[in-house]
Amino acid sequence: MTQANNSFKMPRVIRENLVILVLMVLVFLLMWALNGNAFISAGNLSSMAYQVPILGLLSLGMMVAMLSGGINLSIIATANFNGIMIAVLIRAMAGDDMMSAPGTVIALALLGAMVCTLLTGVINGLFISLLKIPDILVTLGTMSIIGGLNVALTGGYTISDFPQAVLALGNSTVLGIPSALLIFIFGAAVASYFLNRTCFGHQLYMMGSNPQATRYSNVSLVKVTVQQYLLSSFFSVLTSLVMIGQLNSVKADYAASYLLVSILAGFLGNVNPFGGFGKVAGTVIAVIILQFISSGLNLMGVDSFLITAMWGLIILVVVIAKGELPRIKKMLGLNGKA
Amino acid sequence: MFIQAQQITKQYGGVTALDHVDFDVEKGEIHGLVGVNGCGKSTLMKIIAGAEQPTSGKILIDGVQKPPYDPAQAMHYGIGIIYQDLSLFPNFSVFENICMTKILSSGQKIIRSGKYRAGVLEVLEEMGIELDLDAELGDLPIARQQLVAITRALFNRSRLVILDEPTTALTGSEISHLFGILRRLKEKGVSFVFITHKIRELKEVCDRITVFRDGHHVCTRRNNDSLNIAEIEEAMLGHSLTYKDYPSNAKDEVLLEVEHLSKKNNFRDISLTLHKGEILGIAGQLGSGRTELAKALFGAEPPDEGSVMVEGQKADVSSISSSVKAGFAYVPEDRLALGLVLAQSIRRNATICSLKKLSNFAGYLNLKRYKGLAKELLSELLVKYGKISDPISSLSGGNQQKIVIAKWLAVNPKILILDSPTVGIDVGAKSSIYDTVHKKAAEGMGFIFISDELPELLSNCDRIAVMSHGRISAVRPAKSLSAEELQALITKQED
Amino acid sequence: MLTKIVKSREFFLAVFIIIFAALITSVNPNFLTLENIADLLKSYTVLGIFALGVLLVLLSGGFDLSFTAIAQVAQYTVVYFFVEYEVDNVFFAIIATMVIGSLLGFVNGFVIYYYRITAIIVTIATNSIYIGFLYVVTGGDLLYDIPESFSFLSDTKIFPMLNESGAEVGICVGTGFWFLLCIALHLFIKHTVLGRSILGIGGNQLSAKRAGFNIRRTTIFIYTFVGALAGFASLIQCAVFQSVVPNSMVGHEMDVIAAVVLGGAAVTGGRGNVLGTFLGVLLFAVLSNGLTLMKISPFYYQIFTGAVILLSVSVNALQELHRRHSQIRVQVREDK
Repeated sequence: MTQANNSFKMPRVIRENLVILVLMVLVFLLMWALNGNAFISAGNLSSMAYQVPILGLLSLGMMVAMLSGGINLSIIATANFNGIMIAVLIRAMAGDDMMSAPGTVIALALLGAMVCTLLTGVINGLFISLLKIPDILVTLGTMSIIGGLNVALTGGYTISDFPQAVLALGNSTVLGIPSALLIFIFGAAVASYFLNRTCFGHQLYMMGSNPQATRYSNVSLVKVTVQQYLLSSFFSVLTSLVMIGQLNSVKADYAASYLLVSILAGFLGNVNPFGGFGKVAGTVIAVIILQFISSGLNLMGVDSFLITAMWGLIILVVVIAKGELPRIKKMLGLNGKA
Repeated sequence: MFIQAQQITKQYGGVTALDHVDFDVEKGEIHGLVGVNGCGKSTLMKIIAGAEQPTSGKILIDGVQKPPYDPAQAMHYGIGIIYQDLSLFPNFSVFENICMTKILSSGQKIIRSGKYRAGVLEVLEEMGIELDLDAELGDLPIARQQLVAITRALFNRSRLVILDEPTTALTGSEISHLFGILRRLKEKGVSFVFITHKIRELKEVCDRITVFRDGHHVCTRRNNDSLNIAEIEEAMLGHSLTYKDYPSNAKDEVLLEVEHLSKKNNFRDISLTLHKGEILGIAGQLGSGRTELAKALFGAEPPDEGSVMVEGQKADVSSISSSVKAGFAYVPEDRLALGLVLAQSIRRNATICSLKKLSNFAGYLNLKRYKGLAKELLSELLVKYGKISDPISSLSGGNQQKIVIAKWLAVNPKILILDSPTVGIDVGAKSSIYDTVHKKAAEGMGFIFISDELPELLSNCDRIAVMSHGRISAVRPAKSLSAEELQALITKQED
Repeated sequence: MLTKIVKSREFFLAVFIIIFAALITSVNPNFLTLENIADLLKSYTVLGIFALGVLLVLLSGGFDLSFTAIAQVAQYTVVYFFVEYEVDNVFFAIIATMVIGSLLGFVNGFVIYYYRITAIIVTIATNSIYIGFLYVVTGGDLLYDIPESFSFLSDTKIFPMLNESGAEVGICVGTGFWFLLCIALHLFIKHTVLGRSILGIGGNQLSAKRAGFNIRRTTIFIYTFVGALAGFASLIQCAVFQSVVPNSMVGHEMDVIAAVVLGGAAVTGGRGNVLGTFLGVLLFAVLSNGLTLMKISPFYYQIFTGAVILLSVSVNALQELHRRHSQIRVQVREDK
């Protein structure tokens, strides 16, 4: 960087995410243009505010796993597992009538489910770090086991008579702000705190780039990996709270299609798929972009399957753009400054 | 004359890697090529092997000028190159590794390798070695894999084989075995270019020695009795490296006591003591078990049996964290793979060992102290850098190594193990590292200093232990020892 | 030599399959009848052919999550147009599905090679593109009208035998193709330059480049070939089920990958073989059939699958750790 840059300094968050911020604005304007004022109507804005947290929380959990160059395939099965465990625990403690369960039972159930879910993170982390098995295989295995548990626990049926207190967590408003959005903001803050302000975060980034050199710097890879997957599964817990509130029920295979989108969000938000680099802000912005696109297309009455296809196309476009950008710059003679 | 490279220049973007250099190899010659990292020797070899094209200059083979050629064409001309990583396939058989290049260049679609078997056996006979052709390559030790790579080059009818640092992963006896094979092949008219930074090896096996520095050809000398090692060293570095005479800081208090330390297939029955402020050198060939011993004390590859005492207390070296707790720190030999996280920032690399110290019980990092510490460490070791958030790969080797040392000094270890800390770094960085070591020794820190450079050991250490075949064979005070005597101690034990 | 065989993954799998088969037979003697075995093989033929493609990808150090989507598209397109234009020829259909599959697979190979991006991300993307557009275009309608000639793959027996009740039993043609493909692929991997280059790239990409392997051609070939195999498998699938359901296969990618990994292929590339993959699929078949015959709830099947995957990769990992631990680093001098 030249010294001239130092005189005018944008905040780091903006500087690092300039490209996708511009993209966000462009997508917003495009959707606005395509849909007219329906896009910025209170109804649509609030529906976006309700929808963005599920994808956002899952994406943050996925991003944490991607920081070591991996993918957490079990993240959605785990989120469903958390919701199902809440139901199972309430029923175990208060009988089949969940609606009238007392507050203490609900609190205990929420806590118990969270412990179980976090435990799955610990198991993932231990398998990956102790046995040095590629993370994709470990999470493939746990995805299958947890998915199976989910089916076994629910018998394949939907469970829907949740007590109001549980529903409210993901489906109420505080000072006019949807609680789901607040959970998302809380989640982003938690991720940002752990990644930037703790010992663990710095160790994780280092491990993502070169695990052996990090180990030789007195960092326990087992500890960091377990913490990493604990954090990743914590986002499954938060996701499940929002999902229960919004869908009013739990089922073994909810939200399966989000797996792809959460990877896409990380990728679009500049998380390096080989590990070591990726920021919360980038991922959050990417999630917002994706939400603009999906809401905008929805308003236009676009088939939901076409939106799925769009996600794939966007990944390819980003891949190709990232690959061609240096070539285009070179062609335009812009590379002199870089 | 087999090959002549004349006035070769190579530029990458704005950087000139080679500047009008000349280089030639005679038939049946072993030609040594030396220079510090980044001097351009590997670039020239890649050009000769066809992997890179020169910006300008010409190459003559058998006296005929050749147009720019690619690796396949180079092979056709009889030029083979063996890269440091050997470029073999661990999941293929030895036989397949040897004849794969030939199969590919023959353009066949279905592999009919049976007809090559006799040819491969012939080459092996010529080399005077035996290889299990059906074994899977990955199951062989590195020295055998190296022979496979040489066999492959010869099987491809190479008349010139370029060996890029072939001895780094070999033990002393394996090196002499390799040299025996090279001499034998030389008699049969095969030429070799032998790239290394170990001048002792050049003296042993080469007919001529060429020195490169900063992309220039400095000199070419015939290897005879009048060849002076110091002269070659000076040509490599650009000025003579004088080693200071440091005063000893060793105190009477014992800092470290190692007794009967053993690890299967690594080292056996190691006993040594280290005093406060003492610098204990470890000399020995690669593969003598010196790095393995260092890794064991550091807890990275824990020992099977034996005891380690630090300041009279039993030290647990069963893991890195417990060993660090006991007071050990380790600057690894392989700086790029184990010392640094190249892609990450200077600051992250400098502070990685101190993160626990800088955070509270819940792991909350004190950012102010974190940023302060990074700056402090870098200025203490006089590291030259642009921005502290730049990736550490942007620094020179010397500055990188200073950071590896700095990150450990930040946690005040009692014993710092330095494994070949000055390989491939410039003289300025070297002497600044020596100064730092002695300053810390004066404060009572103990050092275990592993090195190939004997003058370096003699000038810096209080005592020197010689290792061979996984054992300590001698321990001598450095002051009473000459380089020749030390060399004799190392080689004597290898036979 | 013998110890090497006994220690091998394939031997371990074979023993496991035999023990499990014996166990099931003791509970339900119907298991070991030709009829049941042929049925079992028929229902696992599609997965078995998918697995061969996945094996190739894993051998090269790559990954593919899009082959099921490719299969769905190829299947739907071919059945739709063959019915529409009343072409009732199974051989044309085989060619057509394979061509469509190759084209879709080629896109993967092209993007992965030219943009050097992790295959997993590219194939997740193409998966959703293919499936998304398939649904948009078809509206998700099922097709029940399958050209009659297709049943050649599922109903015609290679060596028909009559059972007690007089019905023909035996291995069907589709399964026969699977076996043939196994043998062909084994020979291809072992004895052709292209096959070796797949293993070479998976073993050490830089060495492969230096040795003169054509990495571009190989990479693009692999993904194209996986697409072709997926197309072929999809035809057998619709012949067996006599219907085309746009989401009948998609979502089961991981089952296939699990079987291949169980068969000893490394996701890091370079290791694996056809026999192992075949046995991996067979083990899955025997396990699921066994659980059904032993009247264990299908709810537990998925758990069981996951546990088998984790167990098998853990065994791999432990072996690797042990191997690394016992490596000779220094020739330690013995006591005199």
